[in-house]
Amino acid sequence: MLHDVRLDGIAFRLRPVAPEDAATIVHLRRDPSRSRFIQETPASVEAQLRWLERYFERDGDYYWAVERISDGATEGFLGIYDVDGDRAEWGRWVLRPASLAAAESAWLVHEAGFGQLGLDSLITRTLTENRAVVAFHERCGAEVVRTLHGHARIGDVSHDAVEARMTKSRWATSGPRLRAVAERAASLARRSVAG
Amino acid sequence: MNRDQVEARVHEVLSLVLKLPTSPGEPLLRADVPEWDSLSHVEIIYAVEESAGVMFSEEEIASLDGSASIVDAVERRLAA
Repeated sequence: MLHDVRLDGIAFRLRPVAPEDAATIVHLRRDPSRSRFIQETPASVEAQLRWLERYFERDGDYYWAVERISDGATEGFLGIYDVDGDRAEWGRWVLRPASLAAAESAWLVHEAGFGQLGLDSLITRTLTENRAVVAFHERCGAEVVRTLHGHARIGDVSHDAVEARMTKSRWATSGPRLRAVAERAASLARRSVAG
Repeated sequence: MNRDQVEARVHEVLSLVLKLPTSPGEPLLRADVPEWDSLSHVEIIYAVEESAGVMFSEEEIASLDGSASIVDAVERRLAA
């Protein structure tokens, strides 16, 4: 949906996605190293633009670009969607290869959800094969809730997903730990700027 | 520090951070190790820097996709 929820972090910020992001979204999401874990990715910039037009009309759907504060470069994208009362899902998370924005962007999306959007629970649904991201959510403090059998079809193959949940109360203890890692990653990211 | 010593230190860090048995001579690729997620990666970089007394550039950090590339990067830093 069209929204104006922005959040600045340490080295990165969340800003609302704009039509001008369509090409970058397609480029990142169709990268072969990621696309095997991602469903429903428009195949062209034109198709992505049509998807964004529908997204702008959809309530309860917040899509952001992750941007470097230092130079405005786009690091990736993520979103909170399917808002249902005080619950929602977060995902559509993709970052440029070797990005140092993972911890901070995850921290920012939780801050946006629990802070600016007033949510009480955020879930993630990650394909079981995407083991590094499943592990990431667990290390962030999310609680694994269940396995969703046949959650997604990519090509002709059905995939299970792991559903994990972060509640506002868990975030009170998990958030500072993730923020600490984000600060260390931000220090690494700033080296090239400082240099 | 010669390459064997660098490799030993890198694997010591990887074992500690990833909580996995690793040993020099058995290269690890980040893509093959689920425990080597984005959070672990940051810990590994700092721990290797501290252990080897080097500091990587962001460009080098972006290229660290496994134990061998970390050993190479440390060696380049030590030789510089």
